Order: sequence, then structure tokens, then C-alpha cells
Amino acid sequence: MILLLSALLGLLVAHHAVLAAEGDAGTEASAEEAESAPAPDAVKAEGESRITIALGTQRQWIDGNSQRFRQYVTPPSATHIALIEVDHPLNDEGLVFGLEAHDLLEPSAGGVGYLYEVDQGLRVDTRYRRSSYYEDFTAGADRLTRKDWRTDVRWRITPHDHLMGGYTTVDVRGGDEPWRSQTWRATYTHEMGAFDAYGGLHFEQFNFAPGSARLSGEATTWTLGFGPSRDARTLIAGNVSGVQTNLAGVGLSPSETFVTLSGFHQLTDDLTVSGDLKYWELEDAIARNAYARRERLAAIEGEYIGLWRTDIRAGWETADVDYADGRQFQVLQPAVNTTTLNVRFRPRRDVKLTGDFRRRRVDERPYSFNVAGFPATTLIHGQSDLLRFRGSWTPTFWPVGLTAGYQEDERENPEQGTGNQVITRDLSAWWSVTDDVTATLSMLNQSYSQLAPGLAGTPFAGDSRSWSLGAAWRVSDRTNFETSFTRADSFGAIELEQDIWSASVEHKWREHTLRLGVTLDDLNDYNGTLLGYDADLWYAEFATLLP
Amino acid sequence: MVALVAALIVAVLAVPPLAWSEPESGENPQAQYAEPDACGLCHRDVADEAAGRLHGAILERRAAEAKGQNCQTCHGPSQAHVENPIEVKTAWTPELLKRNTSAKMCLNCHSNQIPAITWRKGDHHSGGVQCWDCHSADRPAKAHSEFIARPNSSVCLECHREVEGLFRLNSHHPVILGTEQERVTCADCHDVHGRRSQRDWAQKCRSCHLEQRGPHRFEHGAISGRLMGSCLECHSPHGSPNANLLRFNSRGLCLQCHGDKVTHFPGPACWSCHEAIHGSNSHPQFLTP
Repeated sequence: MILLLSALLGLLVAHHAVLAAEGDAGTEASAEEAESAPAPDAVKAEGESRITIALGTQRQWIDGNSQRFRQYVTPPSATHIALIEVDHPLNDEGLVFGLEAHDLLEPSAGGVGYLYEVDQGLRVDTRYRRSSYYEDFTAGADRLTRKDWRTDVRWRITPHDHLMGGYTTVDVRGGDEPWRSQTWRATYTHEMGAFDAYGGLHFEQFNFAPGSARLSGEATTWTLGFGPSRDARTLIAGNVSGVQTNLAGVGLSPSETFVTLSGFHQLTDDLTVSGDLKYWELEDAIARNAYARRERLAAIEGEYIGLWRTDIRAGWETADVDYADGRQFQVLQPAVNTTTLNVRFRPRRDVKLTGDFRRRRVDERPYSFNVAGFPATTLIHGQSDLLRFRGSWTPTFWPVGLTAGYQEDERENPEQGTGNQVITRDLSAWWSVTDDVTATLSMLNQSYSQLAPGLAGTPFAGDSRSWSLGAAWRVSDRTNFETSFTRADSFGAIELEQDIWSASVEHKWREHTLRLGVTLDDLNDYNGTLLGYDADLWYAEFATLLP
Repeated sequence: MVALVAALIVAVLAVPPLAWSEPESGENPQAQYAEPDACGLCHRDVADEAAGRLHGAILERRAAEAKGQNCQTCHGPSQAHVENPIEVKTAWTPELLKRNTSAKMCLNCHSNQIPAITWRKGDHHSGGVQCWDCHSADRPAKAHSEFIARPNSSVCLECHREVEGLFRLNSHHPVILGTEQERVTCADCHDVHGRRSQRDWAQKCRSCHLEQRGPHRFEHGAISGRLMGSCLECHSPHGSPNANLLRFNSRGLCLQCHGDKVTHFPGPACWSCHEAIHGSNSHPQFLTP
């Protein structure tokens, strides 16, 4: 197979050599056009209609657990329409239609369509994604299909009035718990000088299959608020919203109220302060055990951006929660206090250092009850800390870049004697070997540890490590070659080793693009849980701009 | 405590006069708008770069509505610059070049999508990221290039390289996928223009994972997000060596909080019995959905 790819690569390089020898100006212009072609998600306002179509063929050889291989998506396995891209002005007044559809008619497909009108500021986007995948990897398990469809409308009615709305539907079929949801939303915004005032409605309907123990129902959300219409030294925003949820077969209709007030002020060119006040309340809760029914939150933060390219941001957030205990006999009042400190520092133009720290403490924690109904202990982590350092170096005298990071994430419940820690270390680097060749390296290591009374060692923790080496070679103006090798290992409770090698070559000439690629994906499961597989994927894709 | 901090916030915000600093109008020569076509006479290369782009087209059409649109919509009133191009810059160009004010020009038009206060309090603003660092189609970013409405996740990973390694682990959100196709983008979860509070995560996760949506008659306290980390208490959203993005394998996950259950039916994973672990409508111990 590698020989086959090498041969194809050789053919492409030879083809390029022939074209280069011809040296006609037309192909040079085409190459320029290909390089300046818009990114797939980009939009064009004016110009000629463009239609691109790509045909692809993909072959798979899978030995082992093919369902684990398809856990997120089922890739095409035969000749298929890989891409249709249309960018078509409908009239001379700026009305444009666009479409981009991937893997049409395949089990997993997706696309985006848009229509916009420059003069009137109307834009309609619709996005569709169908995913065919497995949650259960045992032989014969049901394949799930999930369809996500979202449409957004933005309309600038007048220079001061905007309407935003949309519709979203999610439909999951197969498996134990099929469900479907539909959402309609609309927000009207009116600019009044320095402020935007807005009001919105959001309606959601969610349905589980008959016989499910989950509750189907609908939720209506209304919102009223205001915010700054442009940037300024002082900014204030406020919002009130309510959610009413009706559940099938339940007498109560829980309602939530949210109130938010946010402020920002630039004291000097270097110094800013900001704050938030939030209130949340839940009424007519259906919960029969412990639940939070009210929260009052205040947060304040200061940021300094200035001397020696330093950015220091410090914040404090405190939240008082009304918490009904497990028997709903009394309301407890725990408090959550969070302190944050973020520092960014550039001692030299080519060096960037950052440090982040977050400390969270929960006071007056609610206790749980034992089976006899007596208060036992608290299950809530009293302390959680996050510490992160990152540094990057991109020297101007040598074409390399280096980034390294270290992160500690700790949680602790001293009353119970439980705690856990996750330490993550990472390193990434790139090197422009020549003007046409770039090499990359990235490494990640995560180690987990856990503490619980009576627990010997960390039998349930699985450390992990992944690293990847990659190279990109710009063979010519028209031809690019990329390859990478990735290994991801897990140790301890989970013992998996996955190797992925991939290579692809892309060649452009006139309005055509040819892509060839191979991926060799090998997963070894040393726990004997039969997750392993060995998959080879070969694909070829030919794209052309229709005349 | 909340009341104390609330009073402090109100005091801080009340001290400065609530005068909104508007862009300067035509009160001084610096604030006079030039004719819309004036810019392209000298800045031919930039005008060519912007021509045919969506931004260029919108601004060109709006130039007919009001003098001062087109290039000056972002660069500010420029008559003084046209008259004396060597010594006088366009009115807002110095601010465009500063990281803490550069977004100001974009927000003049896009504030109904991204409120200025959201951006100014956001992590990307603090990190010195400018709008065109992500929305420019030509990378490294160019301010006048094609603008992308929704950059894909590869743009995010150019800076957040450490996350890429997590996406390669045994279970991960399907964002970057060797043999697979992107199913989820970073922006589906992250508020890239602002900052998502840890308290909002449960709501966000449930927007895709509706099957875990409540309310339930019997709630699992870890998930509410008011006192604990909500979904993130048990799941590592980028990637994990364990199945289903779990932080710890099997019963080790539950021992994070339920430390007294080390010897409680040892062997199987806790959710073999407590199968409705995200919340139940029929059983207080989550034994059935």
C-alpha cells in the first residue's frame, strides 16, 4: 500500500514537472487563484457564480472492533460525492446564495447553506449534520443516528433595529433512549443611543420515546435586557429572564428567574475594573431530595495591562446558595468563594509567560443522610484549586517555536478524606526546516491520583500520554505533501495503545484539485476488553470548479 | 458577603461619571470625514485587497447612505489625514493598533451579536487576541482579508496546542479526528468572545446531551453546578483515557465524592446498579431512571 501511495505521489510530481516545463501564464494565474480561494466557511459578496464539486472514493479495511472505530462517525466507504460548494449571486443588488455539502448521501454527512442580502442586511444560515455512530461497542449493538439542524436568521430592519431568530432541531434515533428536541427563538434589538435594548422569546420542546422514564415536556424562556451599543470607557448591561418548564405527567411547572447586572469601567488606560451581580431562583421544583433553590452571586475583577507588556487580572466571586436538604426539612446556606489570578508577561518580544491560579472554597457545606436518615457527612468538595503555567518562545533569529505548559487540578474533601489530582504537562514545537518544509512535534502527559479512605493505591486512575510528529512539504506552488505519526497511550486502569500514521498529497492544476491519502489506525487493547482494531483507510478525491 | 461585594461593585461603577465616550464627531478638523473614494487614491493595495470581500461590499454600499462610511467606518474621520498624510494619522488608527481598543471598531457594527462588555471581560481580550486573529481567512491574520464568520477548530488549536493532545486520547469530543470528520467545534462549547462561568456548564452540556436534561424528581447534587463543578465534576470534556470522558475509571469516579463506598459492592462500576446516575424520576438512589 505504501508502494502504491509512493507511486501515486511520483505520478503527481511528474505531472507537476511537465506542467512547470510548459510554463504557460494561464496555469500560473490558476495557481494564484487557487491559493487565494476563500476558505470553505468564508463568504463572498459579489462576483461570478462558483460551483465546485468533488468526487471521492474511500476504501476501508478494518480488522477487529469496527464499532469502536466508528464510535463518533461512520466515514464513507465507497465512491461518493465528497463536496458540493456553490457561491452564487442571485441578482446585482447583493443577494447571494451559498451552499457547502459534505459527503452527500453518506451515513455521516453535513452541510451549510446561506443566503444574504447586503443592502438590507439580511442573512439566513442553515446548518445540517448527520452523524452515524456507536455508543456501545459490543457486537450487534444498535447504531445511532443523530441529526442536528440549525437555522439562524439575522435581519437589519433599520440601522437601529435588528431581529435575530432561528430554529434548531436535534433528532437521535436508535439505542436505548431515542429523543428529539425542537427550539424556536427570536430576539429583537433596538439601538437607543449608547444602549441596545432587547427582548426575546425561546421555546423548546423535548420528547423522549414512549415508555421512557424520562419526562418529555416544553420550556418557554423570555428575556428582557439592555447593553452597550458600542465600546466605551464605562459599560453596563442588565438582563431579566424567566423559564417556565411544563413536564408531561407532572403537576408542578418549575419556573426559574434570572437577573443579571454587569458593569465595566476603564479607570485609566492601563487599569480596568468590572463586576457582576446575579440572582437566580427556582420555584415549584419537582425535586424530592436535596436541591439548590436560590443563588445570589457577586463578582468583582480588576485588570492591569501595561508596564513591561504585563497583564495582571485578579478577581473574586462569592455566591450564597439556598439549599434544601435531602429530606427538605430545612434550607441550608452554603457559600462558594472563588479567587482567581491571571498573569501574562512578555519579558522579551519573543517570549511569552502566563500563569493562572483559581482557588474555590465551599463553606457551610450541606451534609448527606445515611440510610437510617441521620446526617452523616458532606459529599461536597470543600476545596478545589487550579494552577497553570505556560511559556512560549519564538526566536526571531531562528525559525522555530516552542511552547511548554504545566497544570495541576486538585479537589479535596477534608471531612471525608477524599481527594484527587490531575497533573498535565505538554510541549509543542515547530521548525521551519526550509521555506518549504515545516516539522511539528507535540507531546502531552497526564497523571491522575486519587485518595479515599481504605483505597490502596490508585486502581481506578489511568494515566495517559500522547505525542505526535508531523511534517508538511510544499513540493511546489501546486503540490503539498503532509504526513504525521501519532501515538496515544493509556496506562494503569485502562491499558490502550493507539498508533495513527497518515499521509496525504494535494495537487492543484487549473481549476482542479486532486487529493490522495492514507491513514493507518491501530488500536491495541491490553485489558482484554476487545476494543482493539486495525484499520487502513485509503482515499482519493478529485475536486473541480465547474465552468 | 454577597451584599458587601454588591455594594462595592455599585460604588466602583458609580464613581466615574456615566458619560459614554462616543467617537469624536465633526467638532474639530481631525474629526472631519473625507470623501469615501479618497482613501483608495493612495492606499491602492489595501483597497484592492478589500474589494470584492463582504466587508468591502457592505461598506461600499453604505457609503452612499452616509458620508464617512467605507474605510472610515473602521479607521475614523480622515479628512485631516487626507490633507496632511505625513503628519496626521486617520482618527482611530492608533486605537486600531492597540490590543485593548482594537475590537472597538468591530463592535461599532457587531455589538448586537457580541456586546462590548462581553468582549472586554473575556479571556481572549485579556490575552491580547484581536478580532482578525481568528476571523481572517489569510493566516497569519490580515486585517483586510476575507473574514470568516465561523472559524473552525483548527484556528483555535493554532494557539491552544495543549488541547490537541487531549483530543487524541481514548475518549474525546469529536473535534479533531484523524480518520473521522469534525462533529463538534470549540465554539459549540466555549464562549470564544467572552468567558463562560463554571456555573453555566451544565446548561451548555445539556444543549447537546438532552437525554441528561432535567429537572428530575431525584437530582444528583454534583450536577446542578451550584455547589460543585456540574458535568465537569465527573467528565473531562476534551479527552480522557477512560470511556465516556470520565475523569476516573469505573467506581473510582464515584469515590471522588463518595469516599465511604470503597467496600460497597466492590467489583462492578457503580452505574451497573445506579444506572440513572444523572438523575432519576423514580428512585432516590438512582437505581432506575
